[in-house]
Amino acid sequence: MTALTQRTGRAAIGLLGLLLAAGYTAAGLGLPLGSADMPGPGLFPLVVGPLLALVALGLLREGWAMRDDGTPLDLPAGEEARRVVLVLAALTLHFVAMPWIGHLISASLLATAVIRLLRGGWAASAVAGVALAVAAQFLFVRLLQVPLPRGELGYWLGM
Amino acid sequence: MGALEGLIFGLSVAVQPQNLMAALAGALAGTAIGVLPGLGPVAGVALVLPLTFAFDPTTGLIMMAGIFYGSMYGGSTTAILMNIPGESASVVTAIDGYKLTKKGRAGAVLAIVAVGSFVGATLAIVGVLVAAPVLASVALLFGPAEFFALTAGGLLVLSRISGGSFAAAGFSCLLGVALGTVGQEAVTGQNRYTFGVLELTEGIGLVPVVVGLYGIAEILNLVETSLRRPELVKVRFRELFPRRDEWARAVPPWLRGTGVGFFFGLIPGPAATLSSFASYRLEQAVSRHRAEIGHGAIEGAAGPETANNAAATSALVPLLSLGLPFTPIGALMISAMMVQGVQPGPLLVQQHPDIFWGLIASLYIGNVMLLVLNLPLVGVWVSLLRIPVWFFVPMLLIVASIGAYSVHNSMLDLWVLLGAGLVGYAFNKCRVPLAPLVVGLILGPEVEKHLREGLFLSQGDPFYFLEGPIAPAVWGVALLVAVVGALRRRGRPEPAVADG
Amino acid sequence: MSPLPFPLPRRGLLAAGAAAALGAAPRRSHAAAWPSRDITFIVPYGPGGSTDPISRAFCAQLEKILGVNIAVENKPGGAATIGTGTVIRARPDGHTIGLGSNSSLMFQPLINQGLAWSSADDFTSVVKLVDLPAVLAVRADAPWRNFEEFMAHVRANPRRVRASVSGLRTMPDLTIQQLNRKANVQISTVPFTGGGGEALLALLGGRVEANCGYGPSVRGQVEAGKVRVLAVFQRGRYEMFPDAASSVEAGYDVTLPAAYYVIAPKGLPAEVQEKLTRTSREAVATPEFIAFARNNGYTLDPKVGDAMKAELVEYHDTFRELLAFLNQRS
Repeated sequence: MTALTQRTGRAAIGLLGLLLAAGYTAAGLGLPLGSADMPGPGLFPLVVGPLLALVALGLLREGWAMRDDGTPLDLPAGEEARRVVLVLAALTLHFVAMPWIGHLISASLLATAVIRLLRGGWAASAVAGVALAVAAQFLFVRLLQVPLPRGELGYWLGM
Repeated sequence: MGALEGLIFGLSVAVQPQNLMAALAGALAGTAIGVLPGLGPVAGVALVLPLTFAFDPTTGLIMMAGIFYGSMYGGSTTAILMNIPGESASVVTAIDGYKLTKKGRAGAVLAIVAVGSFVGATLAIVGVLVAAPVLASVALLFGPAEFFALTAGGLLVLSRISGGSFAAAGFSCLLGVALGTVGQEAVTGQNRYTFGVLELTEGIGLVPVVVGLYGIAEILNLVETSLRRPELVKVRFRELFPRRDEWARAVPPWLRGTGVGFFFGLIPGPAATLSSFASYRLEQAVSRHRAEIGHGAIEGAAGPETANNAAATSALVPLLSLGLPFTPIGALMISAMMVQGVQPGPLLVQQHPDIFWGLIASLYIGNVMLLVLNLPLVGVWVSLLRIPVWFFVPMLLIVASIGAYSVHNSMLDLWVLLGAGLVGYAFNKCRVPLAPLVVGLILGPEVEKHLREGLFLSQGDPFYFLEGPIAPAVWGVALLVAVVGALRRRGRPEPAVADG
Repeated sequence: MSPLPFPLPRRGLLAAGAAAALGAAPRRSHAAAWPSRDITFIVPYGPGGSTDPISRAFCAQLEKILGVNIAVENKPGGAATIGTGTVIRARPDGHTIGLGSNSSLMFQPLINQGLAWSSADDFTSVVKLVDLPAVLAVRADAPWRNFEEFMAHVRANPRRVRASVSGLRTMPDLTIQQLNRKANVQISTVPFTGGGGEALLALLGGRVEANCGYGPSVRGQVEAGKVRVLAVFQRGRYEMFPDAASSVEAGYDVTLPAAYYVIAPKGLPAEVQEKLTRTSREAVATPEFIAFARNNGYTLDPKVGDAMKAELVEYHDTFRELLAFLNQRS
């Protein structure tokens, strides 16, 4: 494994933060500043942006000056990394699909995929996954009256 | 009507069967809503608002109040057990609470927090009873200058609440402040940083950010470690109960937390969250075991959870005695009264003593119920830890997503949830603390709002912000705490990030 | 427990699936018998406040008349433009309708680009529900006994009199600006943004000289003798505060209430539009709705279809003139 250390991680966040602060401040320049007695929406971002840049620089400096004690950045690798990425992908797909196929179906698929990944066995995963989604649907939609997306599919089915 | 007479009258109202039922139903639903990450008290109260139209106003309000303080009881549960705060008021509880869970003290913390919630609420009720008329005017003392001092000073004091280096904590905090400026700005209606996305005009929601930063990040952590982790956490029965020394250590934070919470509740603003953060900070400063705080000290969980329950109670004072809504929940309760033809305002106590005293008395009854309910539930909650990871992960993913979505019925909040989850995961890896981000997101918009209100009000005079006795005093305290905190940290090695 | 207010539509999944399998298009032809399923009523504001209850009061009556469930869905945000946009972009089949206000329908398009509507032609005007007139309140111990004395003081002290409002470019702010314009005075508005409560708190705490807000929120303070209402910005007297001067009667043609309407997407089938308008008119004429409006300080002003649309067009012009006035002054 490449020696990614805390030092590198910190500097990376500092660098990203610096870019973010620069973009934030630049976009904030377009907002009306107003006057002292009628302060506009641009005033506050112009205070926050430079301060954000300052602390991001601080992070960079910390990364720079930090004694590289070799504390590794505990990044997942191999199977661990694969699992994290797949769960993230499943969640992303869940959010993409929800407006189309509705929450119930989408959540069933999400749960099935995640259980399959963590435990294995498609059939058992599907049973547990669907059960989980139905239970959630019952609890939130029926009992707590949360209006979850029914999706285009739900509309077509008249659900 | 005097306080004692009022209380007795109130009890006679509160014990009517439909009111008892409402208190119980509200407390139960509130606990459930608090336990579920994402579904916070506001969502819960909003959900029952239409139901209350069918009841008599006292019953409806008792139910809404029950949901509010019930969710304060429940909100800490997932924070302590899984490092996933059920609502923003429990963010600081997660810091020490979760560390104690890892040490096998989950049951003990939950019990201490439940009793602390009861103590905080009960003492606050006594305070409300004794001093409600006097306390009502506290809210009147606070104008933009005072609020600016309180919120900007709060930002200063609370930004390093969970340790981390100066730059790391400051970065996290200011990132929160910057995120808070996204959306339609309240004074002029100008859209900022929305990039043409209509849903962004509503701003970056606190719920999806908190649930993402903590919940999704923790889920990713669970997934990552799922290969090495033993699936069953054994909790022995006797470990459910706090040891005698743990009880003893919890008492001072309970009392201090009650005081902090009671005070913040009287002031219009995000009282529950602010009070739990302030209480944690106070414990860091004055507790006898302050060196342990951040590493799994009972004080770090007992104080904040007591504070937010005390605040939930005393927040009823400005609501009922001024009739002005300062929080989303207050607005919902006012709305419930007005729909029923009850006019909120200073005369409420005289015109509708049944509502005022009935509600106060039912708070007491509701809190007894919650205590009786929550202590046995400790065992149930702890057994949640036995759910195998393969089931736990998808369950949390679904519940967290629904919670984030339900706040505004907005798909955008789901993407915010995911983004916040990635940020939380990365920050944990690099030891950048998360709690300051939440502080910044909550207080940033308040700071801006009061700054601009003050400038409008004083027609551009910056010295306005130091007028009066309160604002300079608040600044003094804030600066003192910040400086003393900084001095104490000097010469010590960088403390480990507490909420990683 | 009472029946839940918006139960799930329960059409069997199996039945629908069978219909699909048999080749029958599951999408119902909407014109046939509207309403053929539950109606969604979108409130572009959060629960609470003045908008949500009036919507629910209306829906309760319409539900009874139509005999279907009406699910009230809160979609707040973007000064009500998010929820309003959802209604306007919905399928024009009469199953999605919603609440609109003079601000969200006519003012927001003037200051926001890229909304789904720019004029009253872009949606169907169904029915006007109510007006909520703005009122001018001062502290009980203020030196001005009536609106005339207040205005005399304002005239003598340009920019020195401050009125708290709940945000710039809200109806109360625009009301004060309209007063500034018509009476040629300079009252400074101070925006307090935490809902109406904080603006009123600023008055109670003596931080501003006056407050412009709505009747229901100041009534409690008036009854308690903390606050007096000097004027109401409408044509006649206001039932809630009979002693307050009517702005128009006092010689200032300033009337900018918060006006609430029911809208639907444009392009409704003619029969649907006819039935929706007819039943909505019935709903706002029910004794229950009238009683609710009265008790909560709303002024009834039923207008349907084109009459409602004409009023919106008028608001559009008023707002445009007002914006031009504000831009030229600042």
